[in-house]
Amino acid sequence: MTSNVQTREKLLTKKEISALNWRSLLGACSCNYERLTHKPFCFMVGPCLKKIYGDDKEAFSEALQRHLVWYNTTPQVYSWFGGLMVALEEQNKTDPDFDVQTINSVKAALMGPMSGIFDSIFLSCFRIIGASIGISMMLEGQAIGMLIYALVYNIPALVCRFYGGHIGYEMGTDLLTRLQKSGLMNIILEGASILGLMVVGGMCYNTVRVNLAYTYGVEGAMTSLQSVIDGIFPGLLKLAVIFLFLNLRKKRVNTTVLVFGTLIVVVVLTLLGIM
Amino acid sequence: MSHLTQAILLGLLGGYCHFDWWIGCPYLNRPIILAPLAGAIMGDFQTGLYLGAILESYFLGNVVIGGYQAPDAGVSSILATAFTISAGLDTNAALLLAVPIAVITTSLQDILWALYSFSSKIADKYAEEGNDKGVYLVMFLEGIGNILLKFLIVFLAWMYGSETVVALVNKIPEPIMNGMANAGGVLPAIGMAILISMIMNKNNAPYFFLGFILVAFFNMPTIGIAVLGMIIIYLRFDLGSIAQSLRTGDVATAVAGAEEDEDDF
Repeated sequence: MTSNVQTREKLLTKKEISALNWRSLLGACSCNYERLTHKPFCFMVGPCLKKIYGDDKEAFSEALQRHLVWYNTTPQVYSWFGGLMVALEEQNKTDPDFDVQTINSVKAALMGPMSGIFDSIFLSCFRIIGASIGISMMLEGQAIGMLIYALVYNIPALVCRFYGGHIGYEMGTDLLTRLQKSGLMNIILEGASILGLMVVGGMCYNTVRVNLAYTYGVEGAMTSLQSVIDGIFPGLLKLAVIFLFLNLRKKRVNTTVLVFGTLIVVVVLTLLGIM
Repeated sequence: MSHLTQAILLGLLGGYCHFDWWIGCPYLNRPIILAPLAGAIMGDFQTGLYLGAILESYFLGNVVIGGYQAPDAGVSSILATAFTISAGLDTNAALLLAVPIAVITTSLQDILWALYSFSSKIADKYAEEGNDKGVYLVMFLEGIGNILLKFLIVFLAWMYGSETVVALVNKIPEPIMNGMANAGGVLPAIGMAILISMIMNKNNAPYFFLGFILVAFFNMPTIGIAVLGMIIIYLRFDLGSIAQSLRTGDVATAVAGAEEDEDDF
């Protein structure tokens, strides 16, 4: 199936794939729990399907229905996915031996891995780096942090989106299977997680504030417990609190419960003069 | 600025929270952008900036992944900012307003999305008839409905809720207020924990501590951490030799080689 993708007869021009890239911008404009962003996906590939099936009304309507199935991936690779799908649709039209079932099984099979890899690149890496730089500037009152956040996330995202359709259409499933087989996919995944996690580590120190008000010693020579702890390991209390929450989350404690539990505990500690 | 004008402007920011999904999800519907803008509408941009930073650090792990709808960070940050500024609430306590608003907003959207399962049937019918325009029409109408929902939540909450919230906040005694401000400082730890649990596994856990230590002990800025991270990735996966083999076209062996090297550690 993949081998003849490269030498295939092309029914779509660069212009139509560019239009697909643009239409992918609306990728999440309508959503429901039953099939998530299925309609925007259909909207994205619609004109290409029309071109492929031409006057064959029945085939066109079948294709429309094929692309109204459950769909959800990282928004930035919608266009890539769209390019991939129209390449398969085109094959369906030109190759009489092509099994039409393949289209949706490829879609279903690739959705998970594609989301996994690109969520970790965009959401857990670029977005985190951008937000982390932005947050630390904004805490100091610098408005440019907003702009930096927007750019760090969106420049790679837009590049990916506007090349995506072409990559998907030209390479078909070939590139993805090659990436997966070669193990490069894993390297990208692990690399993105390392980068994201390092930045999160730094951000934990910058954004979490745990200050003990408790002091001890004789009048005039009071020592604050906080300064003693910070002298040994700066931010040790922050780490402790974060890992406490991490543990509670592992035990599936609801986040809203965590928030209000924290509120009560901290208010009590404050009233007791400990925090 | 009149109360109504404020309500409309804040409502438009609320509507943007969904409109963001019409323009390629640039993720500008986040507290980091919306709180400063809401602050500007309330006439206090600087407080908005600070609120944007702390709200974002709580909501950073709250993203839509794999169809799971996280509590709505955008709408809640707009309202929390507006309420905080108008009530003169301690900025650190703003999070305590934002969290319940986020949960309520998402529940309202849940209802709308459940209804959209029915309108999808109409779109299915259009698809059967080969009427692509009909499918798109349903999509646009649903999208507009979602924008309207978020506009209305913010507009109505500000129009009719602000006095109540301000009055309630002003009734809180000061010692409790101090406690709430302290709690506001601890809450980002929950956001961070969510984020960490999304990314961390057995193999990469040390990198979290590395990032933490670099800031705690050496006060390194984020850009420095990111660059250091890239250097580590380069060395760890031996990207130099992979790049070389990519040029000669032999990817599989290069990666296999790099992975063997890893096992030697």
